[in-house]
Amino acid sequence: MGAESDWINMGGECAACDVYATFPKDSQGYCPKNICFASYHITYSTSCPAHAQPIGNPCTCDDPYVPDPTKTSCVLDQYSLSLQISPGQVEPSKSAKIIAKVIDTLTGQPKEGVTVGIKVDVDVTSGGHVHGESEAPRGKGTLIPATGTTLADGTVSFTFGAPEVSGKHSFTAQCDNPTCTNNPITAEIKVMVDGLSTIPGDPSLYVLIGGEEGKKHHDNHYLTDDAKSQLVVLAINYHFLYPNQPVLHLNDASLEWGGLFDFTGNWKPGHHEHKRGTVIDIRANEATGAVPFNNFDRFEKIALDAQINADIHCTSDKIDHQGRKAPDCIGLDGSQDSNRHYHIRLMGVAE
Amino acid sequence: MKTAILYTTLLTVVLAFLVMPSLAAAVPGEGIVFDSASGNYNITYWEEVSDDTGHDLSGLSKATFEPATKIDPVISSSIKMDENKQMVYRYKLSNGMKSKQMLVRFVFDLTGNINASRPLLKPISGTPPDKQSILADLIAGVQALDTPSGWDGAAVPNFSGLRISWSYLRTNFDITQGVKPGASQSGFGFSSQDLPGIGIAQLQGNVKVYGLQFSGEGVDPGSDIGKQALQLVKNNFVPHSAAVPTIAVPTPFDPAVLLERIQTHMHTWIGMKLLDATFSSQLDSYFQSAISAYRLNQPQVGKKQIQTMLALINKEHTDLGRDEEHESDKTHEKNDDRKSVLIDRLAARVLDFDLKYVTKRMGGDKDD
Ligand SMILES: [Zn+2]
Ligand SMILES: [Zn+2]
Repeated sequence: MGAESDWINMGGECAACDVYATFPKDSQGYCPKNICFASYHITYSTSCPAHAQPIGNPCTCDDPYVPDPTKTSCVLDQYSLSLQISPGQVEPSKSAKIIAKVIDTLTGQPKEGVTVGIKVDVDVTSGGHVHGESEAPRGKGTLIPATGTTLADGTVSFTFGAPEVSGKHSFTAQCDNPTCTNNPITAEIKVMVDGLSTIPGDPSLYVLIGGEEGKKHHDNHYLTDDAKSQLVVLAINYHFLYPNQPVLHLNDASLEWGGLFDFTGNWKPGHHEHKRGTVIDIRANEATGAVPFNNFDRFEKIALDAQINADIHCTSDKIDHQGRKAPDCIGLDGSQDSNRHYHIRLMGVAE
Repeated sequence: MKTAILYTTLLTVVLAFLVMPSLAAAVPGEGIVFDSASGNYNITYWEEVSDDTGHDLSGLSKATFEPATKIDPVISSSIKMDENKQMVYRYKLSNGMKSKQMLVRFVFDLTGNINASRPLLKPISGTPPDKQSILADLIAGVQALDTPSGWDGAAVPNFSGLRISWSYLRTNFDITQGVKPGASQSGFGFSSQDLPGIGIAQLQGNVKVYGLQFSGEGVDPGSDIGKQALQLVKNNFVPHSAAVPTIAVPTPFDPAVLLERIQTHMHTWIGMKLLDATFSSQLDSYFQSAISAYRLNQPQVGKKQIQTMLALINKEHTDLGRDEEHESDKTHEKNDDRKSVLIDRLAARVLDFDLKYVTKRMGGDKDD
């Protein structure tokens, strides 16, 4: 029997018992039921349509066919799939709900028991990571479960666990059983920290560095508005104290959508913080434009006055085994640290 | 010889771990341990690091945090009203003999205002700041302060109010500079339209670096150890109470409203352990009577209530109007009167000043 077995109305006449004449349709257009006496056999005035068998009165659709709305032919059931993402964007390391819904396009009713499969992909250069997969494959986050079955309301939910890295992710879903008419379907989500914008150029106050050719990220100066205000206060104070010295040279802040800032381009933790637009590195080594060692004391003082937290970072001992320690970061062999910089928490707190 | 030194070092570390409570532990081996011999914190943390080729070099690392709190400071506050009815605040810092560090930094976070050529206390928002006005604030802030020579003063507006700071003009991280143990430094001050309340000053000793010093990117601030370490930095000062501009005088002058503000501020002293709750309730009844009297336009009745309060306060401490900024430390010690359990001496001086201000504005101190 067909899953959606139903009578199929044939032409203008109904089936007949072999000893009686044909019977007309009733006022609703259906053939009368139980019209034959015992020992008489059913005959049909016409044959069943395609994908139907003469079982019942008079025809039943073959599985998985169902009667069309006029009940004159058997058609394949029509389903359509839709995806809803809530929220439409998600912060790094947080999760979002993806809801797939299947409806019967013939009836408009939700369809229970449909198996839906889903997978997630990522735009490998999105979120400011122009290096793409040059160093390592990019993680896509997690999606649980990989397949699910629709409930009575026609929905099935999946949980997307966003990675630490910001970027554009897409979901591809399809009804595996039965087939939907719009298979497969895709939807996008942005993994991002909202509210960041780039530091406007102002050569009289600071120079933006670190996004040069050859670097893994070229757009590295995004901050929140509050952090930008603090940065300007720091830069003006510094320039006021040292009007004849180079202005602050600003290195990595955050990427355009925040998230993990993997300065080596390998998708692994690189910078601590630098994820939410409130932290920026300021050059403080021997390179051009660096805050010179003699200015460190007053630089730190003006930072403290503005409730800005200024740490000095050097090259890790695990990399060069030189035991470099702030403030000078001079190695055991007397060498200067080319990586020495101020790690500035503009809002005075860690991200 | 080398072996012996290594053994001693190891033993010290082991003893420190045994004696000192570990403040936090996350990854096995991580921890922050206070070393009572040096007064420093030894931090062992997981350092996540990879080289330029992406090769993972992560492992445990060590760092030391030297707190800037090895000082025993005293702040002497002096408040006067000048002929223009402006409050003149003066401070003297003394570094106690027990201090192990030079005193080099003195900070207030104010919610009251100070007098400057342009208003400094104002809300700072996220809108991109106007450079000229930041520069003007900076100059006005420096000019608004009295700063002793060899020190740098600044009054900087921020998100929560106004930060006043004086820093010794140290050079090259030289930790021998600053106010030496047993010495003092006067000459800090400003004027304000606001009446004094009690604020908490932050004082710091001279250490090479005020933050954490690590090799590399250091401890992950999001880890348990990282959070504990940042807490050490956040509390890296010795708090000391001082008289600071706190209570705005209403314009036009309204004694009832001002008394309410004084009373509200006074209540915060109970939590600061500067005022006994029962004594506070006793004062409250006089506050209420005075406020009602001024509201009913009975200034003489109001004044009587204030005078009763003044008498109560002066019974607890003698010589409240004394100028402590210009006394030598010896005189200060000698004159230190009996300790009241009901109200702290500085609190009593502030309340005495504020209540007398109300009576002065209402027609003088003379009895009628
Ligand atoms: Zn990247
Ligand atoms: Zn940094």
